[in-house]
Amino acid sequence: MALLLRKVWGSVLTRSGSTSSSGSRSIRSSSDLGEDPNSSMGAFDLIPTDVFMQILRLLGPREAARSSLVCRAWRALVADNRLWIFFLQNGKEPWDCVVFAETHLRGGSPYLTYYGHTPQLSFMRIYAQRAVIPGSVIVDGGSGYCKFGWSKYSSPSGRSATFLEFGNIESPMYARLHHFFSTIYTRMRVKPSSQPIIVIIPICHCDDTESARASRKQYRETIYSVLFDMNVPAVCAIDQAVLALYAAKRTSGIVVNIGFNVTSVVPIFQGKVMREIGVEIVGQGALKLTGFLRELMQQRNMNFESLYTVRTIKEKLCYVAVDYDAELRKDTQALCQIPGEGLFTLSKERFQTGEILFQPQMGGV
Amino acid sequence: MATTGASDGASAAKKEGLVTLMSGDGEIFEVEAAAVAALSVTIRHAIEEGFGDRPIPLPIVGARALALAVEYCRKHHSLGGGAGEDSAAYDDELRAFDHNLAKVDRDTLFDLIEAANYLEIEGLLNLMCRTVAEMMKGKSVEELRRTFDVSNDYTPEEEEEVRREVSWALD
Repeated sequence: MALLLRKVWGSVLTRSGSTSSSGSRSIRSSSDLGEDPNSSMGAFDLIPTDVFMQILRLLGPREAARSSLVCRAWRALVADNRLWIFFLQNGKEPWDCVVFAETHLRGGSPYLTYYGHTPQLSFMRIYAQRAVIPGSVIVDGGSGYCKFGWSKYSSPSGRSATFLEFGNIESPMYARLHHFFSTIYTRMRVKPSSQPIIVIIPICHCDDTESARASRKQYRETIYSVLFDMNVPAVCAIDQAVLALYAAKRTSGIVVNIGFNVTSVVPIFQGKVMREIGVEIVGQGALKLTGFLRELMQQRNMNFESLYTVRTIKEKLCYVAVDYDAELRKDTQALCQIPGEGLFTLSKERFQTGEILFQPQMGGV
Repeated sequence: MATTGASDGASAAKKEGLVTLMSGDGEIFEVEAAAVAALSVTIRHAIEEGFGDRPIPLPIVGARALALAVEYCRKHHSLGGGAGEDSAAYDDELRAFDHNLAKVDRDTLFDLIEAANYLEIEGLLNLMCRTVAEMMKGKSVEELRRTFDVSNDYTPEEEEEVRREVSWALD
């Protein structure tokens, strides 16, 4: 994982004289060049530099970068961080995500998060690296549903019912995982060799024991061998909870992940799952909630053909009450039309369903 | 044109609604206060600070650029009410005026940028910046140096290094 991150993000520590010059050849920093007070900007000497900067903004990133070839003084101006922050802020990716990724993830490994000093970032270099970066395939294989898509889009492009189609993908079985990944590549219509892949490591075998460690290692290695045998250029396999935390733009925190089968509570410090502190797994997830809603509906003599109907009603009508007892006294009735099944009316079931996450005894756990 | 030529100086600016501007090279312009104050923040402030009955000195603005800037203010004040180019008031006539103004030679262009920046005429500054950006677009590095009188002060090694740095932006 660290390898891929390094490969993908490159090295940020450009001028800080850092110890980890992770492989990439260090280029002379721009402060050595171009800040020569005698260097002339030609006709642009007549106008204030912030106006020149405004012109460079209008020129756009590529032409602005090219113009640094004109002379030292132009290069010094083009290299100004404000210009590239402007271009990044007007780019496709949300600026706060860019900042988080560059300041917290770029180090290659989460353990390299810096405290006490912010590395001197060159946003021109950051822009350049982001401009040439290949998109990644992202596969988020949950035990209920597997979501897959592209790093350049903000949401998955497709999903499939994992267990129905592939069986249990949380065990390190080469043939099964090979079938799993090759099916996804086929559905995405992409050659495995054309893009790096980011794949989640599911939350299982999460104890801090020798055998759990061995299982995790085995799973990870099976994923690597499956994907590299398919000629995938780079693989980044990260714990599901860690990626969820990154999506919230944090590297430390407690992730509560309500999955299909289980709900997990995962403490994470600087990108590392703190197994020695303890990962809690509670045996109820989305499936349990759907089952509980089914019971509630049966108690009220509602008729339905399939569990999918119950699930759809759950997704459409159910919510979590801020104050459960207060909610009971309110009128919470709502309707949901299911094609082929008819009209369903729910009231307190709408928030009782989710309440079993907080009061497990209600669901008989 | 705004200029009344070098008139008899400060005392000339007493007419109602007029303000006197003095360019860096000493030329005097008598212009409608409302028009320039609507477009130029600098002049608006000068008038507010009581400069209205004395010539306002504009030391870094040359007469040629000042004349063009004043013309820009007048035109935009009378036709567009000083509205920005996104507004409905920005009609074809103004567009044509801007288009023509942008056809000035390079030196005038830079003088106008300096003037617009000093006088804080946002629309004019934007127009001129866009014009320079258009002049730069699609030009090779050598053409850029020629167009803007820049000499290449890189050593061959430095130039090679910069070329590597921006290789992502080169075709």
